[in-house]
Amino acid sequence: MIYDIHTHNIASSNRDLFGEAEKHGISRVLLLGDVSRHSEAQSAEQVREINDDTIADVKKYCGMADGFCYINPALPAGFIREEVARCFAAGLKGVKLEISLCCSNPKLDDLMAVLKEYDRPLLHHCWFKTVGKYGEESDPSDVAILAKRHPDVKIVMAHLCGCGYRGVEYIADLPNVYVDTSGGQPENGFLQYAVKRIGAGRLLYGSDAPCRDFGCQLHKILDAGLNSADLEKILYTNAVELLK
Amino acid sequence: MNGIFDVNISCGRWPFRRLPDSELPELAAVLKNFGIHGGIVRSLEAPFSMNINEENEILLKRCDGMENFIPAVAVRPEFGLWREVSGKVAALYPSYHQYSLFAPETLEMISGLLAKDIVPLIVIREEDERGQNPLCKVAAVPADEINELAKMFPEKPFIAVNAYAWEYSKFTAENLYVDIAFAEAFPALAGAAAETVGPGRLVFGSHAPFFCVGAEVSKLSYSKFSKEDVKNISYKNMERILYGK
Repeated sequence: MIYDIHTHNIASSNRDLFGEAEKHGISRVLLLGDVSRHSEAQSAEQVREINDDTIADVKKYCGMADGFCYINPALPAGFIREEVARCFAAGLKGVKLEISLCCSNPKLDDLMAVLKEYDRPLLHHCWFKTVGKYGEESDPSDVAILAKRHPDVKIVMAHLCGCGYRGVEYIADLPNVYVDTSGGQPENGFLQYAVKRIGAGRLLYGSDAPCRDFGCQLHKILDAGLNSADLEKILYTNAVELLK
Repeated sequence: MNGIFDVNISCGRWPFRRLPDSELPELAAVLKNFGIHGGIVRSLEAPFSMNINEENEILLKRCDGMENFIPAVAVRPEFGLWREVSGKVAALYPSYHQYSLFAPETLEMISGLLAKDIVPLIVIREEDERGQNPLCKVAAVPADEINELAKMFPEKPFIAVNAYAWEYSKFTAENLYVDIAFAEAFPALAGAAAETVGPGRLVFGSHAPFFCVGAEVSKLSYSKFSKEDVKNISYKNMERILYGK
């Protein structure tokens, strides 16, 4: 069984997300929304629109998909609380943040309090970028700051290959931080390093499809020379545990 | 050629991190597990070395006795030893070695290589620029410049490695072959590639040991290309380039 913790339901994509997932033996995916549909400073209305689509897609692909609520954390706290509550009531299982506000900003504290209250995880885009960094984009040092402030909230730091060795080190001592393997090129060596440093229990397979390919991204895990127990954790059981 | 031929293999020591299986015998064993029985091999040291001649000598020794693994020695215009180079393929690193593809001395070097039927293999990038060491930012070689260069020598094949899928649209020159190592969204790419590069000019490249070999090989199995197209990409196009078959 394989659970893909990082996919996006993008209506304009001409790819058959579920058909392709099935071909690669992926039994279930987490839909994180069409987070790039608008600018990074989405309005409340735009955030609702993204989440409406995710709620509809989770219903449509019932049994194959879970979904996360997308939030622009720069929006008013009242809206955030209301929108998260609406999405959780509709069955979404956590919150996805992208590049609207750097996650070390204390403005995230209200949202984190809501997540603690519902006992739901956060999945946050993250990358150490030498070039091409967006203004409010978070890197692993920002995730570490957030995780230390909110040790009771589970955080998935996305994009292992973008975070690199240094990224793993920033969160190594923070047990509430998990790392997903989604995105970036199929770089060799990062997963083996992460398993050694933080253990397979905090790593989750993700693809970032349809921006990336299931097959290519899956082989980052399958080719890493891991034992079957670690493979099972990364490919499936960690995700199921996190989202239950 | 038996199995897949890989145009994008490197071996040695990359200065910024230790890559798994980066010595050729170990890497060849990994490649073989995925059905790759030969390829074009570059030096991991050559992009940053101040003495590429020495790196070329080491590369030749590494490939000695490694059947079906063809060394691509590094050449650059200021190092006159390009005139003595032999073999089938030479590697060019215009960004790392900081020269223009259109400088007179570069064109002289390329003309000299082509006169000896040595195929120029142009390395667009070695790493995703976003993940480079902050003290060492190396820009990619512009895809349109490679295309223009290839058009200047239309009778001779050129190979470009490590292009992103979005750069494929620039590669219109019919003598320019492009590898698939950096290209993802592959089912979609099959459509885009058909319009620009096409399976007749795509070649298999793993970019090992930087990338996971299985991830690259898997692209061949789930792409929307026909079986015949996959054969062309896997080895037939390179057979034509290297051996005129």
